[in-house]
Amino acid sequence: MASSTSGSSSSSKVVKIRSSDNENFEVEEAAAARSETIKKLLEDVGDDADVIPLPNVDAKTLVKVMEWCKKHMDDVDELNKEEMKTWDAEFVDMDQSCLYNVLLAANFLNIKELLDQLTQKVADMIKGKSPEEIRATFNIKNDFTPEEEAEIRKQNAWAFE
Amino acid sequence: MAEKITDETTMDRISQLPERIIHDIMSLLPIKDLNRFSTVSSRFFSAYHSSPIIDFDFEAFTNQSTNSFLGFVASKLSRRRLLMNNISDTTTACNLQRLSFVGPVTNTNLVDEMVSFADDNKIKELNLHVKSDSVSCQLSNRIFSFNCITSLKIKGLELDCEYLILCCPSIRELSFGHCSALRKIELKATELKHPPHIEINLNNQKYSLKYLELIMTSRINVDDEWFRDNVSVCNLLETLKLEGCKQLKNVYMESDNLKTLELKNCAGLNNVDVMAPNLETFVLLHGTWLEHRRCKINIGNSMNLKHLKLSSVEVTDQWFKDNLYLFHYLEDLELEACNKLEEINIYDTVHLRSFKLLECRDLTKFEIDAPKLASLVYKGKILPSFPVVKACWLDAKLFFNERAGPIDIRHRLLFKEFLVSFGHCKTLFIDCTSEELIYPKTIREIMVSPLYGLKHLKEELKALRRSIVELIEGLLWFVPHPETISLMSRNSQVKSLRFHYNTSVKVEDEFCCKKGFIQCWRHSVTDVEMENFKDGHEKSSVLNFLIENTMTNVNVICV
Repeated sequence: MASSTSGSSSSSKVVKIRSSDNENFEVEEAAAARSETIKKLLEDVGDDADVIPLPNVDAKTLVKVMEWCKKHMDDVDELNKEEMKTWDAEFVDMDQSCLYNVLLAANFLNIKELLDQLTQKVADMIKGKSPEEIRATFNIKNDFTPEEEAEIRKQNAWAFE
Repeated sequence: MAEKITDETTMDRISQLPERIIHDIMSLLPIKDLNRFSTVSSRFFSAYHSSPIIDFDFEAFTNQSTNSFLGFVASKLSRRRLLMNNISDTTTACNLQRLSFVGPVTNTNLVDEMVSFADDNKIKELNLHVKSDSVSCQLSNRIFSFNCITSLKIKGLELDCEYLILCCPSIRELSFGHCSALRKIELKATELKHPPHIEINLNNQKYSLKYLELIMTSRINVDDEWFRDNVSVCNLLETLKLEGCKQLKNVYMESDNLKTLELKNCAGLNNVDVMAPNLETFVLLHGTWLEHRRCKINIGNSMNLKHLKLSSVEVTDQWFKDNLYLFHYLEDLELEACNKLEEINIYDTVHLRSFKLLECRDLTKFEIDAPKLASLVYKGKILPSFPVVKACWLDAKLFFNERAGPIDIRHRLLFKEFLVSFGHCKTLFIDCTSEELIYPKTIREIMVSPLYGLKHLKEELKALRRSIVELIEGLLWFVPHPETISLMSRNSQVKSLRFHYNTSVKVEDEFCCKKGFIQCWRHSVTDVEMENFKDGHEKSSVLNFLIENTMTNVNVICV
């Protein structure tokens, strides 16, 4: 671990960001810049940026997102790839409400890699399940009329075998 | 607090996600899971039918008949069409990203429908992989001019044509596999608008592709790696033409089938290494405006070479010497702006019929002995050493560079010596200033005419500053016993003089022929046909000249 971060010295730049519930965070610029949105904002305002407000992300979610960004700040070498994979798998294993918040935050902050990991997580939760099971997993209400459902089932019959 | 948590865990959050994210999730699902997911609620049902990605994969239809799979594909496409028709906003149609089909077909209709669908919906990526052993399916050509397409992958389909011209302006990736009819691909990248990089996967094509032509613009490029992986492996390739591939440094081909290799304006070329015993045509051409580069050419293995053309290539005398004798069957040789060449000797080329030697800056001498040579074109300066040309039925054309300095006696001498080599030609065409062709009378009297044996002389009339009679008089000194003299000019018909002789007339020891070996035209001419001379002064002056200068009673006919 120590060797992988040796590149980023203690003098590395820190940026301030503010969550929607007005909590301020200090993050290393390299980590924050994983977000294309923040990176763009930093480029626009330059060095005289005070605090960057992020009105769409609450503090709890922002902590989570920045945890990911910090971990993914440096380029991963071959040796750490496996370790990183395990870490990522544990990271996305969070409760559903949290998952959606982070998903939306990753979307807003434009962090493609994180977004990919999260959508993959949701897809994995859908895979191999029947429609009923999917509804139960995600609390989705079946809003089809019985006739509509029968018709759709008929069309997609092959998928239910 | 506890209540809030319960609230959040029982909330349907997935349905509230933005459409784009739902589509992302859907794109990660196998087709079977995707279909189940789409039946969960109307939210996902409609999201599925607006998804930018449409994938059909027969493999995922476990234990299903081909017909039920095809029925499913057809119904999905028609539902999609219905949806598209209902949306009046045409921009939505552009949102479709990909249509992918992997599976069997029973007839061409479905393939046609997918192609039309891709066209109507401005699909960007189209992947058609037909896995049918029994049915051979034809793909319509119009696919290769689709405007929006960026990626095109075709496998297992027969193309409508053997010869494909690809002009999709946005294409970046192209792949063909097992497309049995395809023999020739021409990629007209000049018609492509702004693709930064193009990837063409011909890997699966290596067993059938016979013709490949790539014309690149500066913005698109193929490099060594691409060439090695995609072209070098095409063993059946008979014709390979590359143009404007500026990043290409090394061309390596080893093939018994390669017959034609043309490399044009590939400015970065360092190495051309071709092991192709059946190669018949080799063209290496750098635009003359490009910086000349040294490029190693190894084609010595090509013993059957018939046509060789090098332009702006730095080949040396030594290379030429080492290689030319290998090309025993050479018929056609063209050397242009090969500025490293100083002396060219061509011997024992019994099949050579055409030789073009153009603008080779440092050339001092050339010798050619080719019994079948029928056409020779030389363009450049007057060489310091006179050329040696041994050929019986030659039609020679000489284009001399415009002379900057004055025409002095030294130049007159060199010019004459140069022309002597062409005295035995069948026809000779000379393009130079008329000033160079009109030797002063004082020189004419001491020098021997250079073109004694020549029968037909053609001259390009350009900026004639003297009278036409002076020119004809000058030319008749060059060619003392002609059959025809033709004066061509750009904006009028060819003016010609046709001479008929009475060969039984004995040579008199006349002053004008003292130094000659055969008599000049003056002594035995019986008739002269004049053609296309302008009425008035031009015609009468030439007529008078002819009558005044003959020793016989010449009969001049104006045609």
